[in-house]
Amino acid sequence: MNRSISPRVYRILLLAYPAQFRREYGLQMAQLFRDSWRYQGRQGTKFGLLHLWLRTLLDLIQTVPHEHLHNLGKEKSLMNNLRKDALAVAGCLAIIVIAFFLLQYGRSHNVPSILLFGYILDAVVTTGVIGNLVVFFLTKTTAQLTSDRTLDFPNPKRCPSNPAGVYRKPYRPTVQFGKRSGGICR
Amino acid sequence: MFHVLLAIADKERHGYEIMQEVQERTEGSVRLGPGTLYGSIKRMLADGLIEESGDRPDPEFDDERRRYYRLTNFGYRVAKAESERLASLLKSARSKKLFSQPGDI
Repeated sequence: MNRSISPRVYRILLLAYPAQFRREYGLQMAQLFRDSWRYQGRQGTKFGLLHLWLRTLLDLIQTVPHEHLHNLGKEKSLMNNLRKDALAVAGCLAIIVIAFFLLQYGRSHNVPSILLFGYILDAVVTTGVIGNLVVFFLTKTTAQLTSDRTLDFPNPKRCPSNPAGVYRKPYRPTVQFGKRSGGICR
Repeated sequence: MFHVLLAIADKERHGYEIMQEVQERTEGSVRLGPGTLYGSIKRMLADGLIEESGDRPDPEFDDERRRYYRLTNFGYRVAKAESERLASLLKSARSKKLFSQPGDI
């Protein structure tokens, strides 16, 4: 592997980690890999770099799921959202079942009003599901395109309240109810 | 986790130094990858065992700013307690002749 590519490839692989973890430690992890890669390069051993990559990939495979699970467990709001989503899905399924029986009844007993109501319920659920999917994918795509793909490198700009400190370039603010997060001044 | 506490027990270090120190002390048997190391650091920071002692350049490593870590008082007490526990276990193993002392035939 081209020597100058390895650290860059590793920085790309860091995208697998949760965004918060990456923002906090991504730079340091990239530094650590780069230092290890340089050390192996200076050693000049035949399989040193290969061995480094194997260990790093194994480390990645073991720790990425762990960090995501750890994040999931910590995020109570996410669990609450998951519960709400589960309820929403159950509600949709219930409406689909009701619509199905209404349509069956309307067709078999030739009751136009019930048939119409069944069609309306079907249309509502279908629109809701498709609409949610569209919004979901649009949100994900927008988040991918506008999210902080690069690591938070310390900005040479001084932190206004702490001249000796380091200002991190602000990541895309996450809007939560009543809260907004922005850049971090150290 | 104990490896990291040991590594910074005598002085504050940044990530690569911690990794190197652990590797040297264990003669290569323990190698901390970036994910493992910083995952542990994250949890130890959350538990109050270690703290960041600021970013500063390290002339040994291209003068790039690196984040240093050190033990907190609590972390020191935890490391000390764990060391004593291990020493006690070692003493028991020696008394049962499971662990030979240097110089034994």
